[in-house]
Amino acid sequence: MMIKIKTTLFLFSLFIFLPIVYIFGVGFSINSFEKLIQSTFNSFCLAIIATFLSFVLALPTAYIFNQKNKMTLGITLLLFLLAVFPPFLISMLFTNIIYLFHIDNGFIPLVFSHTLVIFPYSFIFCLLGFYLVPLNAKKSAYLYCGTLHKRFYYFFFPYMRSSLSVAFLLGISISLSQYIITLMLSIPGFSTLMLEMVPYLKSADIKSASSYGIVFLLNTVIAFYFIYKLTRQKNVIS
Amino acid sequence: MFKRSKLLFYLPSLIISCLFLGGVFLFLQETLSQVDPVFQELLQSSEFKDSFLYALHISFLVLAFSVLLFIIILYSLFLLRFHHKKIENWILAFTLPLFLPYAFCAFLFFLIFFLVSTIDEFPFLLGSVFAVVIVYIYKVVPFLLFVALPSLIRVKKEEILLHTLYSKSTLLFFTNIFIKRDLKNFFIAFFIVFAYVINAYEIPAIVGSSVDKMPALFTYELFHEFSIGSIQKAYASSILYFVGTLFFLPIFYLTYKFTQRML
Repeated sequence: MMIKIKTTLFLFSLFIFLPIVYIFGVGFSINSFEKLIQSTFNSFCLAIIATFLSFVLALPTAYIFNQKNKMTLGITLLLFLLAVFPPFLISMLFTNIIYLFHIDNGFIPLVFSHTLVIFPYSFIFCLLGFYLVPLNAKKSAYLYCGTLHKRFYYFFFPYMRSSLSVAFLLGISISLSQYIITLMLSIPGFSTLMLEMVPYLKSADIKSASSYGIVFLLNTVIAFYFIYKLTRQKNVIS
Repeated sequence: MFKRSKLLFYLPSLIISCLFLGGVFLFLQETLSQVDPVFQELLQSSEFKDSFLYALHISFLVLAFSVLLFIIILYSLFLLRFHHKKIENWILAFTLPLFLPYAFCAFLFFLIFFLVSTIDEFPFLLGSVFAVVIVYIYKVVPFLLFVALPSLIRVKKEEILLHTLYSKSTLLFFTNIFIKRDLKNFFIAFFIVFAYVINAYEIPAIVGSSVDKMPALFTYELFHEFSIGSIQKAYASSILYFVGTLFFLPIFYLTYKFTQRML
């Protein structure tokens, strides 16, 4: 019985890992090292700022909702709509806003649109983080800490660290994945990893595309190392 | 005083909601001003209908295969948990594709299909329905497993002990208690997957067909056509696709209710 189960799981893990291993067999070539560095820098800057902004937006609301201890229908519907909203439509909405407010700088609309895509996930993980805080810790926080930031830092954050870190990594990964939004809202000359990789794929220049793919893979491996470390902590999986 | 501070907490989310809803309002204003001709033209166009039907075909295929695979994997993990074995490493391995971008996953399979196409007497898979479906399964199953992760962790030793005392089958415990407990979340995740597959751009653009177009490709081409009224058409088509996707929400809800009653 156990062997059958493990074989099933092993076969599925083969399905997951074989395509990843194969990328190293293809080899890679870098056309412009400067471009690669520039697009990596732009992508990660955008991803980190958008994820951080989504936390700034999500944390206070999640805190209030945690106090209420229930989700209202309105916010649930809004989150659900945001989660199923097509990325193409989001980029179109932002094109309208750019024209309305005359925001010609390509970076600000990009940050806001990426934040909007990440927001539902950040909110859910922040809420989950607040639920992970035990009732005793919450009571102690209100008894012993007068200010909110002390309450958060000493009592909530140690319990929320794992879920917030997963949310942060997921946010970065979601932001890095966005192709159509970045393509439609960015100004000419602005490049991200995805914007550079897809044209190589369309022209079947596999080796150049792999060089960008390996950066994605490295990011995922680093993210996974942190998640692995976090799961070793007791309050995540026990 | 308390109400004012509460409002301050809500303010950031209110700002993003206003931004989102303001965008929707502007968007509707722009499309609805020319509503009749554009919408009618689109609804009568065979290309638009074919694209939506093709997307539905792909989406249901992806959902069917993903749910099947998801249940098999989940049941296997559940059995491991049931027999007090460690599942953390398996879960970590399976959720890896969740952190990989869609276009990168499409690229991984693009490489494999490229390799396969060099083998004689083997069908050319790039551009086929199979290629698109397999890449989506690669991305979707880890997402579903990620959704199921909290309920998998929540299986308590006491529950297993109680179950062993009453000596019911493990499958009954899996369906009647484990699945039933989080059925709502699973169905929400299924609908998110369904909606995403219909409206996503990257995977069909890289491994999909150039003849049968998925909605996002169709809309993108309209947007970049630069002919008179093509941008309005792109707006209208994307809104129609989104509304069309939402029409399936009651079907998912009814299926959820039916499954809940059956379990």
